[in-house]
Amino acid sequence: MSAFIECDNLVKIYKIAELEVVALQGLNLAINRGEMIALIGPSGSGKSTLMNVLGALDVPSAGQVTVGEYDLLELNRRQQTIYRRNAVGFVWQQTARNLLPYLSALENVEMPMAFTKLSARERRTRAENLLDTVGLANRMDNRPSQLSGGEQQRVALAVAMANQPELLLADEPTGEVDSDSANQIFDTLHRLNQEFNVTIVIVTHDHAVASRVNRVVGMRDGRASTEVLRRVGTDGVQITEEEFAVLDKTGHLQLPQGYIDTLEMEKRVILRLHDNYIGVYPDKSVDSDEA
Amino acid sequence: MFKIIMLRLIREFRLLAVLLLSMCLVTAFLALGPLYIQALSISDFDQRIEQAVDVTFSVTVRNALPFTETVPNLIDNYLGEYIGVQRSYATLSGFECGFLYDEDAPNNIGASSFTYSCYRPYVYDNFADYFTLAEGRFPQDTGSNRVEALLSLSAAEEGGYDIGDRFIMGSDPNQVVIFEVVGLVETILPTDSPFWFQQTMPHLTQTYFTATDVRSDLSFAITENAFQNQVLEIASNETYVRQFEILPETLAALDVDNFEAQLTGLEDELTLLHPDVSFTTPYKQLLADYQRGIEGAQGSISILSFIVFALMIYNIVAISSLILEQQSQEWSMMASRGGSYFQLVYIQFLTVLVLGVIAALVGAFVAYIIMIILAIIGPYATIIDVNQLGTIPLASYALSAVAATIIVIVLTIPAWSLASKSLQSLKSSMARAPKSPIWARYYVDIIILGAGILFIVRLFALATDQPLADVLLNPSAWVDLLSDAAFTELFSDVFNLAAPVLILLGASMLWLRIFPFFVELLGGFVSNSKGLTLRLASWNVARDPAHYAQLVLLLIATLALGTASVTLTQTHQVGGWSAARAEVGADASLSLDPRFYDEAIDWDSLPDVINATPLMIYATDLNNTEAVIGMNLDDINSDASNSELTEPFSLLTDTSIDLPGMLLPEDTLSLELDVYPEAPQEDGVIQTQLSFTIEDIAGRSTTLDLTSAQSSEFGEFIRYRIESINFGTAPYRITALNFLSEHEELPEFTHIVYLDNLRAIDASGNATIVNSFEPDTYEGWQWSSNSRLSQIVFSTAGSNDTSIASEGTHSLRIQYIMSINPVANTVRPLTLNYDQTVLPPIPVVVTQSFATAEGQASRFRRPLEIGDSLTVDLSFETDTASDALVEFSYVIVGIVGNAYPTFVNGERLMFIDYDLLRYRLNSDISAVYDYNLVLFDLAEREPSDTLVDAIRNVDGYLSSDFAWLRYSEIQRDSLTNAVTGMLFVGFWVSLVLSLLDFGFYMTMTIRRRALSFATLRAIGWNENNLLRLLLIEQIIFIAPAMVIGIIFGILLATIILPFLGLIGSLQLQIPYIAIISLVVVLLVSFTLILGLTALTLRRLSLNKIMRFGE
Repeated sequence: MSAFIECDNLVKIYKIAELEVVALQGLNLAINRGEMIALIGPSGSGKSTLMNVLGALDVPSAGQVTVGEYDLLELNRRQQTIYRRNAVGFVWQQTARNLLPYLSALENVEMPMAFTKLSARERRTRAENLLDTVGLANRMDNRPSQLSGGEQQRVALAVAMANQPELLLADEPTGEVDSDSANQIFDTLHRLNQEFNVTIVIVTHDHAVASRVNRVVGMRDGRASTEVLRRVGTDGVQITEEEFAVLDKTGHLQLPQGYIDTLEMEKRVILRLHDNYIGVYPDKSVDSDEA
Repeated sequence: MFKIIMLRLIREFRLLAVLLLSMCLVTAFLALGPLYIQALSISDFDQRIEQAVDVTFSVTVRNALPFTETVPNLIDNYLGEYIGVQRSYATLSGFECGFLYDEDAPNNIGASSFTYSCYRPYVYDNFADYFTLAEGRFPQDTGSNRVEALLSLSAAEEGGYDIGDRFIMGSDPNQVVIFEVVGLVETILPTDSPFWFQQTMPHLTQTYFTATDVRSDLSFAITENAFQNQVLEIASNETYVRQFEILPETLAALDVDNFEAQLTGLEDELTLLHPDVSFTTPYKQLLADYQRGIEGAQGSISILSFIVFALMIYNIVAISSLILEQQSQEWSMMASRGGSYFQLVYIQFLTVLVLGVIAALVGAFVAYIIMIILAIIGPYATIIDVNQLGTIPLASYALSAVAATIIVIVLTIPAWSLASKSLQSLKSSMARAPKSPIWARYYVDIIILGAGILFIVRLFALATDQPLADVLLNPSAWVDLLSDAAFTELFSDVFNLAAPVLILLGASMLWLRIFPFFVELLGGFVSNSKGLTLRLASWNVARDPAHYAQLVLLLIATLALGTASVTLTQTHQVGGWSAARAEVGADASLSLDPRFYDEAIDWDSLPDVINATPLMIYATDLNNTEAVIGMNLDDINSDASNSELTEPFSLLTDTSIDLPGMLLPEDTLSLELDVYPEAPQEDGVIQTQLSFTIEDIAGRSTTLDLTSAQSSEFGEFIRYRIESINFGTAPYRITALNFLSEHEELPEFTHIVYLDNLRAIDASGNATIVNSFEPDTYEGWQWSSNSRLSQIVFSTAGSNDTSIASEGTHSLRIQYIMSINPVANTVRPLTLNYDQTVLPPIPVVVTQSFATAEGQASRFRRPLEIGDSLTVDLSFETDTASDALVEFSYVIVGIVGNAYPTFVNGERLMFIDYDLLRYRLNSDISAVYDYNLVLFDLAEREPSDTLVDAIRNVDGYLSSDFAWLRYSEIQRDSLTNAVTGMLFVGFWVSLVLSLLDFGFYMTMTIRRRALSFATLRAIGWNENNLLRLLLIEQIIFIAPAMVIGIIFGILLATIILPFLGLIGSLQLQIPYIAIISLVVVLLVSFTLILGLTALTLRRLSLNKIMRFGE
């Protein structure tokens, strides 16, 4: 089964004045339908760029990226709009970017549907159901200023789900809320993930967030460098948590910076194939080791 | 979608209210044009109606056949509410001639003893409606050709007629009508009533062919039967007339079209009934003049309104951009939710459409409110009556809608770029490098500016025949040149209007390009300054140059409008008076019939007159393209009422020529001459009869007999005498001695006389010998040419041999032959002229145009130069000829420029000493011609009633004109008023828009500014430092705006000035105080907003502000 999201050797280069910035340097990533993953990494690691690419807000410079049946490199402007309208939902860190201050919660959820051909009644029904799903059935007529930060983010989730997207992109959704609210938001994300089988990608630099999802992709220098996979038993209790380095299709592998620093690796390393592993040695230490 | 937009409109109204207010102001501005013109039209129309003479309102309908009975009703149906009583009469279309009745020979009609005269009978429907009987009775039908008639009392008195007098119409004795006066009547209406206009019934006109041969034109009122049965038997040119008066009080500017339609409808209907009917009313001319004025104003105002409107649109776009900027996050979010470009643009479109509809509906009403304010405090409040504004015209609603439509379109366009940028703003991590706008990349500003300049160049090239380089080298002349071309076809060329529009647009874009460099430059200057404030202020402006540049641009435009408005107002007021004075020639002018000039009048003593300058002005040809102006050189020193004349006449002060004849002392009252007649050579007695021909200073001449009780004596000196030279004005000159001696018996005889001691005697009896006839004193005496040819055989002077002298040693001996004209049986007089040398060319000063035109047409074939001598014909009216010519020769002693706007033809002028011109005219035509124009300087601009009366009662009064009246007209001129008024409103609307923009910008940036202020406070700045920072920021962008705005305003006014058609060489008047006031208003307004901002910032606590920036 092919993955729902497939990024293959994705490159994104920005040009600011005369300076070229390579935001994605041949990223490879595959996400299955219905997965809920977190993208984690320091500033400048390329996670927001990846979000923009997945949300069809930006077009990569090279490589391939597909989301379901959409080949994001091939979309024209109109198809991009349709993609954003029907296939993807966004939740941003700042509530001001998610909700229109002059609309009530219900009207905000109805807003994205206004871009489609849904009837007013259908919109209303769907919006009410969504707000019910996010646990805000009793706050439908409140405007954002009358809602707490957590509630605003949950309304934002309902808004993002308004057109029943297959992909939900959340950029630091809990960045501006307290831990209780953050828990509620994650509960809601899980509920949406399970109820609508929507694929959810959460961007964060908060490692605590990572513990709330089954798969965490660590990004560094425009590439996916590590992955943490968590297996959960049927009773919901975590069974294993293992960290992997990501090996892409061309065989590239990123060594963790800590390892490199500890062994003072520079420029070149020596690889030795052993029976069931590959040894990576600093350039100068091979001889002494061997010796 | 619509619901969301509506919800936004309602719930975010505070934000959009700024935009709505701006839109309403702009729609109101465009809607104001028609309202302003309407208000001015009402004022203008009322003034025209008020100033029109009564006859303007008379309507005369004429037909060769009697009108059908329905005509009176027809007139009433169409014009009933507008007109007074209808009157009708029938008459002949001209005078039918005949004779005064001869009682002694009634049957010899047409014989030479009958006096030729002409008559015109009138038939009125009811005599009693028009006449009151002074004597006699009203006419009755006689059934014969003796027709009973009424004669007006005034005509009877003037002609010496009475009841019973009879008059014969027709020259064939077998076909005559004899009018017999049975009643003398006075007209019930005054004879100057418009109803009597062009009717001669009340008047008698007498034409003198000779003293005794006089034709009398008389009119009678007779009965209808007599007219139909008797008069029309011998005359067929009958005409039927209906007359009525339009009641001026029923006429109103707003009803003009309706009334005109009624008038035309009536005319058409009457033409259907009577195809040859003529329908005349001077009101049509008044209407046409009025409509022409209004139409002229409408076009220009529309164009000007749209230019100012374009500036306002720019302003409103700036406000809208700020709002859109604030909405960018909202739009980003919508875009991320799948809103397409079209849907985003649709949101903006629908939003501004709703606001636009409101603005369109409200615009006309807001314009009306502005109009009320203008009528109370506007620049021409004095001539607009707040109660006479009329209802809002349809055009205002239409223009309001047009403005709103344009605004909606213009405000929707930026949504495209925002929609396309909306996604970019979501990409928080990276930003694209800012691109400069398309126009900046392709130098559209420079191209537009260049095109505008090319159009200006084209305009100048067309307006002037001069090479462009000359115009460019002498920029001060271009207003004059364009003024001269104003209202010509040139100005209807639409391309010319492109010039100011393109230049303004190009300059604006250029400014946006320059401003960042300007701020950068400023930043460079202040980077070395020690204080942080100046550097920080410069940096604040520099980091947002685009919007600051916009603010500056708006400020420039606002100030430019204000400057143009006050400058034009000032120019109009000063120029209006100057133009009025130039048209009239002085504060007041009086045209006189020179034949009735009262030399004794002291013009300076008229009430309110400070100074008076009488002039003689005559055309040199019948086309009236050249004129000769005569002025008394003494008036130059007494501060002439028209300063234009000082220069040319000053050049004449040292030039004079002697007039022919023997000059008598100025106080001469009588003359004495000693005459020694010799005894007749044949038998009989000779009556020695002599007369002097005397000319006065004005060139008028008369012949006065020298009388003596002893005129038949001989052989001794006899004293001949003229008792009193009772004519003309001293000093006098004797130009001839005439011999009229008669012999008792002989038809022809020879006679010798000796003349001695010609004495002038003054009122006190003191005698002065003016010719002693001693040697060397009688050389001037010469026989006139005709005398020599026909009569004279010998003439000589006295000599020692004769020794006949009454005093001294010599006398003048004259031998002459007299004869009788056998046909007329009268003496043929002989004339001994004194000093009849030909008058030398008269020294004159001419204008350059005169010199060029006359010189090219002369034998010189080049422009005349000083010292050239030519002849010129003077054209004028005399008692007997309307186009008499007097030729005289002149020599040019000075050539001056062409600037004489006061005088009709302005350029081709000749200036002559009044005494010489008067002498030359009168000596040639033997009539009395004198000053025909007097110019006055008055104590006040507005002439007093006593002065007006005094001027009207002057002998020979023809007409008078007052600069004040013309000035009042100019002040009411629709075009100028509307232009300055619209600029005035444009300034205020622009100011409000700029303040809204500025205030809005401040609101938008307050968060950012608050943070920086708080940061500054945190590092130790106090409030005064912050205020100083704000002040310096203001100065950075307001100071250049002030300078550039004022320069732009003056340029704008200069461009507009020629379109206003202000006359003459008037330069732009710059009202410094008014401009300073504008600057102060701007500064105060902007300071107020910044002050409020500062106050708001001060109220925010440091903690709170710092949180803003999180």
